[in-house]
Order: sequence, then C-alpha cells, then structure tokens
Amino acid sequence: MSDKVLMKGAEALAEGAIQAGCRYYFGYPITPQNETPEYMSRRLPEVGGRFVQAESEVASINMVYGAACAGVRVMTSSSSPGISLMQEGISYISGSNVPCVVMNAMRGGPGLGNIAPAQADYFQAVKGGGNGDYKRIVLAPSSIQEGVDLFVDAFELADKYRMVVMVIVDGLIGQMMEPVEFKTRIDVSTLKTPEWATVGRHGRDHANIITSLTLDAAGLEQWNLKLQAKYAQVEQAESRIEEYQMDDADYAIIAYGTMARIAKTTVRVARDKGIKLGLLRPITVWPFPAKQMQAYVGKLKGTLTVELAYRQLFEDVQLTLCDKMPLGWYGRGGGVVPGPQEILAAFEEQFGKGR
Amino acid sequence: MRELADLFGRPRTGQSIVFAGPSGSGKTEVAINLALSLIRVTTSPVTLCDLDVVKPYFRLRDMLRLLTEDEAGRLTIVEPERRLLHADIPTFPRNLHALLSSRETIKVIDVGGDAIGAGAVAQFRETIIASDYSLYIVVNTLRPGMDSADGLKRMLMAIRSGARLEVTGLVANTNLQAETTAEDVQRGYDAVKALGDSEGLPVVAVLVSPEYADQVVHRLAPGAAGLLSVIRVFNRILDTVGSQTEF
Repeated sequence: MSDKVLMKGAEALAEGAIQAGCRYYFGYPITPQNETPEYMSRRLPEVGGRFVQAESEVASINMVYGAACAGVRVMTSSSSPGISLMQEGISYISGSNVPCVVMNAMRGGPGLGNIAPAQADYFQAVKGGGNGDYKRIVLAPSSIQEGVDLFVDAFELADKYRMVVMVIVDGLIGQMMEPVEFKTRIDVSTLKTPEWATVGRHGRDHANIITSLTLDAAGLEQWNLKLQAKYAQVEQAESRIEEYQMDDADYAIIAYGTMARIAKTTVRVARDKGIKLGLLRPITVWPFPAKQMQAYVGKLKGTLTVELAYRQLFEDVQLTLCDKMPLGWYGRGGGVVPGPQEILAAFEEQFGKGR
Repeated sequence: MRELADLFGRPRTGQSIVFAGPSGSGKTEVAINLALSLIRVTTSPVTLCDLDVVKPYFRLRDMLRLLTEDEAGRLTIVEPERRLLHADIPTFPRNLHALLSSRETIKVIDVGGDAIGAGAVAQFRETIIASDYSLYIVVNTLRPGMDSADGLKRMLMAIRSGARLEVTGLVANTNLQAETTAEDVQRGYDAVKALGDSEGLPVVAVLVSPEYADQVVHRLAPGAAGLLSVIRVFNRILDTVGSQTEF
C-alpha cells in the first residue's frame, strides 16, 4: 500500500499548492482547469484558508494583489483567455514587488480558440503580456507529480524574490490522471509575515505602502534598475533543465511540458533505430536554461525544437544557439497533439536518418 | 475471472444500466467494457449512451476511436451532435427520451461525475424509471476524499440525491493505474463492501486492468476474487498514444 492517490492534474496541482502553504485562492472558472477552483473551494476552508470565486479574472488577479500585499501565500489559476485578462494585474503585482503564483492551463488560441491542449501562450508567459519591464519566473512541469513538487518551489521562489511565479501546463496535464504523492508539507505557522507587508503598523514609525506608481522619472528608473538587478540574479541562479539521454547524443529534441513527455518516447523509438537522439527539457522557461544548452555546442550536430505552438519556444532556442548548429523546428497548433512517430518523421525529414 | 456482463446479471433487451459515481472513478471505462462484453455474450443490440455533461476531455466520445471497426459496428453510439463534440457546453444527444424508453436494445448509460453529473440525468428520471433500470456507483477508493468510510458515505448520499434514482449496487474499481498492487485492490474492495453492507447494497464487480492483473488476481481473498473481471483500458497517459491525437 503506497501513500499515493490517483488524481486529475488540475486537482493535484491545487493540493500541491495547499501543501506548499497556499491559503488564499481567488479565481474565475474556465475550462480546462475548473477542477482547480472546485478543489480549492472544498479544501481551503478545511485548512483555515479562504476561497473566493470572483466576478471576473480582472477582479481575481486584483484580489491576489491585495492578499499578496498582506504577505500571505496566494494564487490564482485560469486558462489562456482568462490569463490574458489578468495581464494588467500581473504587471501591477510585478511593479509592486510582491509575490504570488499564477497557473495557466493553456488551451488553443488565439481568441476564444477551443478547450484543447496548447502551448501558444509561451511568449505571453515568458516575455510579458502586461506593460513595462518586468519578468516572472515560469515553471513548466511535464507530469502531474512534477507539477505538485514544483508548486512548493513556486511559492518558495515567489517569496524569496518577491516575484510573480507562473506555472504553465496545458489542458492535458490539467485533465489527465496519474498517481501522485505529496512529499513536502509546509507548516504555515512557520511562515513569517514579511517586514514589508501591509498588515498594520505594529509600533513601527512608518506605515508600509505598496504601490506600482512612481511619479518622477529618475525615481522610476532607479526602481527599474533594482528590478533588473533582481532579474539578473534570478537568471544566474534559478534556471533548470532536464537532460535526457544526452551523454552520447548526436542530436537533441528541445521541448517542455506535455510535448517533452511525448518527445521522450520519440527518443526511445529513435534510439531503437540507431539514431543517437536525446532530449533537453527546460523546467524553467524563464529563466531560460541557456547556459546548460550552450554546453552542448560542439557536441551536437543539431537540435529539433518541438512545441504545441508556432515558433515561440524556437525563438528562445535561436537566441541561445544562434548559428552554432543546425536548428530544426516542428510544431502543431489549435489543440492538435502530435504523437512520437510524427515527431520522429519531422526529425528524419530535417536531419536525414541522423547518422 | 468473470465475464463483465455476467457480473451485472447479463442484462436483457430493453433494460438500462446506468453508471454514476465520483469524478475520475472510471465510469466511462466500465460503461465501454460492459457494452463490449454484452456484444460478446448476447445477440441483443447494445446502445452506449454518453450523458457526461461535466468533463471536457477523456469522455466516452473521445475513446470511441480506440474501438476496432467490428466493435464499433456492433454498438450503437448515442452522443451529442458531432459539431458540438468539443463545445464547452452541456449538451445531451437528441431524441433521448425515445432512446431511453426503447425496448429494442440494451442501454448502457455513462453519466457525468459527482452529484452534478448525476443531477443532469434527474430530468430523465421518469423515463429511466419506466425503462427497467439498474444504477451502479463506480468507486475508486484511491481518489481524493474516498479513503474513509465517512467520505464514501457522503459521496453515495450526494449522488443519490443528485440522480434521484435508486442505487442497485456498487463497483469496486480501486486502482493507481499501472502502479496498482493486490493490497490496493483488496483494501478497495473491503472499503466498498463495508459501504455496501451499511447501506444494504451489493458489490457486483471488482475490476482490474491487464497491466497489473497478473500480479493481483491470485492474491485476493475469495470475496473479491469471485467478482473479479479484467477490463480494457481506454484512457491512458498520452505518451503511449501512437499517433496524432486530436481533441
């Protein structure tokens, strides 16, 4: 008898957040992640937390902003069109230097699109979507268990750097079921209210004020430089990658999330055919694991970037490896998910038989 | 090892077998497997009916592509209109009252999860009652909230009041997918049996899938072993899907 339970991704990630100390959730339903707010609405009151179904995504993210200013662990989740509506709030939270976690279970776009799995919000997550020069840490799990484990890191990183951390999955990870185990439980009574939190003066000689407004240009430039220094520190310290069957690889597939999971099967199928293929899987897509990839310059004959989007992840691969090796690309859109054989066919079309 | 149709009393033409239960407990898998078992052991026409208005992926309608041509040819499938298959709106198939009251076919009905999914069929209550129905609750005790006698009891009450139909029996479908052990299956059966005993409901089947059946079947106590059936798994994690998956 194990300690595992069989959970749907969207439920397991919610429980992962609760185990990570999250006690506040504000959100608005949208497929394919409705099980997350549903689960939170049942579980948060049991652990002394609060769940509010807001009237819209705009309201949700601003409730998150408010709770974040109080220095508590707070999150929201949504899917692509809902995340688009939250961009203003994400920019304000980033500009105010407060921590929170936002999950996006990406679906087909643009626009209302459909409810099928996609990765086409990569640019929005990684490059921004709201206004101004801000960054957020973006974690991209490729299994339910990894998502659960990364939620602990998400809240820790958010608090450590006072940043928005996004967890991006797609509808498939949200909806599929797998056995999961909750290995880390954060005791919320050990979490200290930060010095900067707006929870009363408590004998201090000044009130804490949190705002993203700085009227004078020189002052705002100084503020931006502080943020930039922090982002540089995150880029230095926090990028992560999984290197799968890379020891003797001639070629690598570069993919994240669900697509990386399917690509692992491609790697095994290719190796059965004598092609020395490996997989480089970014776990953080911001900061992008550029240094880890650049270490393969001179060792690889080429890479194939595979994504459920049109040349978004590929653009970061190009920036990282530019003219250092041949860079191939294969992607599908609109909710179509290619199987391992289709990826292998794309590889062979672009790189021959890989010898 | 028992034939699934026999565990459900080998339903006759005109009868309706309805599956309800907590979300993610395996209702759709059980419904397809019972329909396939029925076309193996009876000559009656079999209709498989998708009334799931709750979940967006991994529904009956998504799994039908995995049937062989022969199997698909022998089953009548009732599902929402094709053009609405991926619409994120609760739609029922057309002519549902006529179908549910049909005396020409055995009807296997897959209902959406939890009280909300079961509640969707309450509007067809009169028709279902008139059609000689049995309602089974599928339970996987390794799903969240199903690990205690209290949780199981609450679930049963919620689904009963959602569907507003009498429950006929329980199906023990405890599993952790490929990681399932004999102990998991046995403890799942014991918990579902205890629920059944306290509510006056029989456990009619204990289900295992081929990926772990070999390690499990010889290690169950007689009560569970006598109700054992191996079901084909249609929902499987994505990376084993061999070709293009379009949702």
